[in-house]
Amino acid sequence: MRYLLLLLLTYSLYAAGFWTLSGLDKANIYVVNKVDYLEASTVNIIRTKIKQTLEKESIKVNVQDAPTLMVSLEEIEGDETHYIYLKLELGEEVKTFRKDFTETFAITFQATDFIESDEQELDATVLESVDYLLAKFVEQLQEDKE
Amino acid sequence: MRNIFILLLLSLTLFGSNVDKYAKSEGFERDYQTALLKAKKKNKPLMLVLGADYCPWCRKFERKTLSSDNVKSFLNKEVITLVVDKKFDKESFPKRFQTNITPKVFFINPYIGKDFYQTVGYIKKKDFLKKLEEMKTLYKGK
Repeated sequence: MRYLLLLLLTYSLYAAGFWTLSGLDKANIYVVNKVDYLEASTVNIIRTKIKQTLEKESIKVNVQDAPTLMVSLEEIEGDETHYIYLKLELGEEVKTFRKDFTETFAITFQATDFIESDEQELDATVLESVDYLLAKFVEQLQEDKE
Repeated sequence: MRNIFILLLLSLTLFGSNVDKYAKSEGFERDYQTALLKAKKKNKPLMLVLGADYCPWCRKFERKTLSSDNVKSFLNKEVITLVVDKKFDKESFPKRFQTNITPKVFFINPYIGKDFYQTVGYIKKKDFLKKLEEMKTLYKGK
């Protein structure tokens, strides 16, 4: 908790996030869906959206040993409303600053969103949220290219 | 007791290592008094960068802004640079420069030891260069 409070006191007035996406030229796509009511076609659209976003930014997809860009969707139970927690994360192997410079898997970008929706609007709301998360990712990419 | 002391010393060395490494590679001073004397001798303002080891914005500010070519060449020419950690170096610089918000940069007039310009938070290199120019103009009209 204290760590979180301290992090809140470190900030920027000008930037997208404290992540650094410089040099990212390839990524693989992974979608984790834990929302039962979401249509399979929506999950496919999410994959397509990520692929198109990456290709537009000249990032190769489906390459061996590339970092993974993941969208995960998790539902928090409600009565008639669906509450969904969405995460867009980039995970990759990194070398740490530990005493033996251990290599480990790390999250090097994260954007999150929390939405609520009724069942009829669920798929559209989820796709809107994915667009928002991908926009945050692109903003960070472009900022780090400057 | 001896073991505790060694452990403490080791942990301080490990915590301090990143900022020490950064200072060494970029030519930043680590001691306030030494930097102040140097600034006075060269008639340049002292730039104190206050960061913290838990602060991701500080690391990004160092990597992307302070280490960029244009900013680096300005700093080498116009100021004396000092980097301190707000927690681990807290005894080594005046309390008036202590702050809750990081990263924070103070530009200090070395003759009176007071800051005349500050920046707060991560700033992109292009914007930071503008601020450096503003600072330079202010210092010249001191």
